[in-house]
Amino acid sequence: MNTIPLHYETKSMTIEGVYLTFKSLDLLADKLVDMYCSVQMSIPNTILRVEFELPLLDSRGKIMLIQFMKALDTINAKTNTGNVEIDWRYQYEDEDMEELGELIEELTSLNVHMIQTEAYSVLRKV
Amino acid sequence: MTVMDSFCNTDPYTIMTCVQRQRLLFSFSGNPSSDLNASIIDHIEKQLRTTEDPLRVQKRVVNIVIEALQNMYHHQHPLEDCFTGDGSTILMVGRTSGGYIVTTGNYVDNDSELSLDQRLRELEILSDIELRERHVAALKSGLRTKKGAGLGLIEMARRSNNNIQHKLTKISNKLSFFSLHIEIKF
Repeated sequence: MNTIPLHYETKSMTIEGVYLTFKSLDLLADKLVDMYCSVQMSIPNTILRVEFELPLLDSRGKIMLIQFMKALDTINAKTNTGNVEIDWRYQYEDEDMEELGELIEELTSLNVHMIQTEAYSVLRKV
Repeated sequence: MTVMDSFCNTDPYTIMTCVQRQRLLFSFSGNPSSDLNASIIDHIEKQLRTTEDPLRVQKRVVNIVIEALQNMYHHQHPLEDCFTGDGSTILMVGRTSGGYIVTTGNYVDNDSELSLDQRLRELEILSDIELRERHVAALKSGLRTKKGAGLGLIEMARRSNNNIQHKLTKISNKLSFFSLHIEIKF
């Protein structure tokens, strides 16, 4: 797989953590904007891997994430940029996050890999 | 007798045994803030981890508490004449032999009372499949009003298999007290 650096030094991008509050939703938005810009500036026909690991996300965060993914899908389809592949990590027995990953897969043409992980203490502060 | 008199005359041991008998995991009264919400969820999540209850149920309880807190945070109504000056919402999480109970309460304007009541009555009669469809449609559209799309209520209904009851108690010409009683079964 030809993976290009999203930030010159790194080869992939990880978005993880718990986003529940206004402040942390701003942080999540920043990361998603960063991802969006990286895709826009990427070399055509390469694969950009973005790993998500979000143990908790409130309904506003989910709406924001889906809107970003749809936007990403649009620039992927309409412009000559790299192709985005999503590693969607969700914890064992977490039907909420599993469903969200499946919904992103359903609503976009992005390649979403569903990866189940072990359950662990939910809150990792952002 | 005022609330304060009642509080002062109650032996702490009586309160403690009452809380233990009711298997109350957590209770909070005050005005939620974004930082406080994260701490409350952290605490409840740690409490749940000490049990051997199914992870799926633990996750559902946490998800419901998140939405309940966000709901109260966005709809809280400051009360100038409130007893503590800082107590316009309440949240309680308890465990029963059959599962968990999440109870919330907050003041709402009488203006929004009708739409809230209507939305909840609509949700009550939906099947699991219809709730899922409603949930996906709300997430897809991303449409929301100033205070949300009711997505939080749909999430709570889904994660509790629609075991959700609500009550609106009229307090004055301006205010009602809105309470939710949500049951998450094992």
